[in-house]
Amino acid sequence: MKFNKFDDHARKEISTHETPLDTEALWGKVQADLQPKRKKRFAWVWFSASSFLIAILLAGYFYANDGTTNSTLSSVQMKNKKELTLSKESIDKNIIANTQTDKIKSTAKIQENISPNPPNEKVTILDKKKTESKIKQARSQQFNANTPTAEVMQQSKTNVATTDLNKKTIKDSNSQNHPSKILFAEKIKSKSAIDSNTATIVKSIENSKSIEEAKILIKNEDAKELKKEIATLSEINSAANKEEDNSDDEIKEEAKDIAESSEENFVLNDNPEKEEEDNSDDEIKLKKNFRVGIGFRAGIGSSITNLSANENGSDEFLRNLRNESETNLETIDLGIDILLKHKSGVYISTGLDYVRATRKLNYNFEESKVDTILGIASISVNPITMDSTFNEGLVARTTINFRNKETYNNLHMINIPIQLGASINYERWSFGIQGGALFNIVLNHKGEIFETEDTFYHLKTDSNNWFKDNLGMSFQGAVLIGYNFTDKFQILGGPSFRSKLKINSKSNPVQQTQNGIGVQLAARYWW
Amino acid sequence: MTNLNDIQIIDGCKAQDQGFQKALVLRYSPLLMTVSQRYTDSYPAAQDVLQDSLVKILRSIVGYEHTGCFQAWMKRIVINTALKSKSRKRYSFEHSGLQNINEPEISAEAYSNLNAKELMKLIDTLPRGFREIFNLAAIEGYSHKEIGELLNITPSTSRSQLARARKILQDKLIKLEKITA
Repeated sequence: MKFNKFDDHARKEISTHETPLDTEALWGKVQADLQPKRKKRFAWVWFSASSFLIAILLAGYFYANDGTTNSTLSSVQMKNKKELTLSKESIDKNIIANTQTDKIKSTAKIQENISPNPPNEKVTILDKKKTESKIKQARSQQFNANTPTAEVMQQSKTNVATTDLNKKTIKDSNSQNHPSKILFAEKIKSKSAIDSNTATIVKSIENSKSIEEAKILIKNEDAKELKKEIATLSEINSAANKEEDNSDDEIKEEAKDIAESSEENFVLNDNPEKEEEDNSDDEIKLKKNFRVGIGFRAGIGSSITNLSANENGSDEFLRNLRNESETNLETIDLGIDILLKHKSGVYISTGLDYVRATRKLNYNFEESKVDTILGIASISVNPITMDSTFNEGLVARTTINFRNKETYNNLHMINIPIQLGASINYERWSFGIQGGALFNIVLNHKGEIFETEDTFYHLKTDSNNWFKDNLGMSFQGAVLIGYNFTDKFQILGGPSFRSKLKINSKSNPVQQTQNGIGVQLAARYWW
Repeated sequence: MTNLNDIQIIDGCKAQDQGFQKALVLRYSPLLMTVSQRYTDSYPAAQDVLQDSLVKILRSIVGYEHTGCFQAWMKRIVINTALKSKSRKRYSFEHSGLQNINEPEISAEAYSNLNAKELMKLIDTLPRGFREIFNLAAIEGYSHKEIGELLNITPSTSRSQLARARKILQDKLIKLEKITA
């Protein structure tokens, strides 16, 4: 009888056999598995969207606020400049507030004294000028008289004194004379002088004999006033332009800012055309506030690899096997960055980043092979004669080979960084930090890892589940110390880290993420 | 739900109806558990494989076109799942070069009284590689070509390993016959 009969019998018995089990519990588990799982991959979509939004908001904030500080000043300079700005603002506020409130009061009071029916043209012009002069006089009195506003003036004077002190400190720290700031104080003084002279001018007009004489007087006075304003402004601008040291651009900008502020706050007759000019300057201001840069980066580091087994727990052994057999080698990265930097020192950057992470698999193991050979399958013993007969047949043969497996696993990936950074300058040195997200795109994965305890999985990108397996997100940050060779070119270097770099596809039972620390060297050119 | 026939269950499962899905699991899981057990090393492992297989069956049933035996289709999924299980230990086979192995003979008395459970226990004593091939060839009726594709071995290797498995079983059955005689 052939063995096929046994096969038939076994098939008949076994194929219909049912093994009792808790089917209700099994249904519960199956039902849970059938539920669609929440996809975690959407987390990075939200993160990237929020990062982008934050970047836009920051850019908008810096654009809206032209910035009153300049990061390129030293810390002392920055402090003094802040105080200076505050003092100036305080003075401006006091003057404007007093001028506006007193102007209303004085106008009301003066209008009571104006005659209702002017007899002739001369009187009309004179009355108009009188009204103006009385307004000016009242304002002038408010500035000089010993009234409650004197306290405000005292405060203003204190501020002026503080300003002078700040000017002196800046002057000391720069070892340079800064005439624009002195002119700023002189400007305040000259304003008071202008106001106090108005009474004299009105008197001259009153004493004039004819309309023509009065007109000439008014014209002359207006021309004088305008001339003075132009002279003061040109002095301030020329003071700013006279700065000889080209590297001290920021001081020059500061002087110009002060000049512009002075222009806005101290010119008595507002000129609407000037506002239009200011609007047309927005583009120039944007260019002044932001700088665009390009950077090249290279880094080397070592990795800390984290291996995690799948949920069912049966892959723990495999994870331990990989931990024992694999070691981390170097990680190298090369990148190109495009940067947008605000003058405050805050910048955003993006670009392209190539990373190669290497691990080495080194494992000694035994490989068993089972095959069959012809041999002595059994020995028959004759119970009577006690003769033994060797029966030839197939016998199993197990061959054990001691082998060593050594392979290098290389991961090649392209990253798109979106990073936020900030830096401050001290003399020619720059100190900064930067950090952000990296969007990982796996290009290629070469090498072998354990798939089971005695088989190897050839690493490769999975073309069937490309989006699922080859896209990921990680984070990186760096502390950068740089040297500014010129205003435009700088070299930077410093420690960097990278976390949760996605390594292998989900088709592998052991998931691998990689954290890395290393050093980075970068060169940047700014426009 | 207990009176439903296969076609009704299949159509209900295609419509993603949970009642029909549950009916399928309750009706066929004991049968499929037998299959799963024959290709795994332990009861918990067999349960895991069965659970994964049922999920696969319920997800892929939409593509089932009522051709062939429904039970055979489900069994095939269980076998594939078990063989592709990550925790499964794979053995490397070497072609022996012996193509014509005389199939051993055994008297029907040696096994005719054995029930399914006893037969499964007997088959379980085979080394895993042999057991898989014996189960696939003798019980499921797979051809050596199909076995070769499933286990990534050549058909001739499958054939020789089947012969070896049968030899081992023969020895065991002879011993058993002697004991019971």
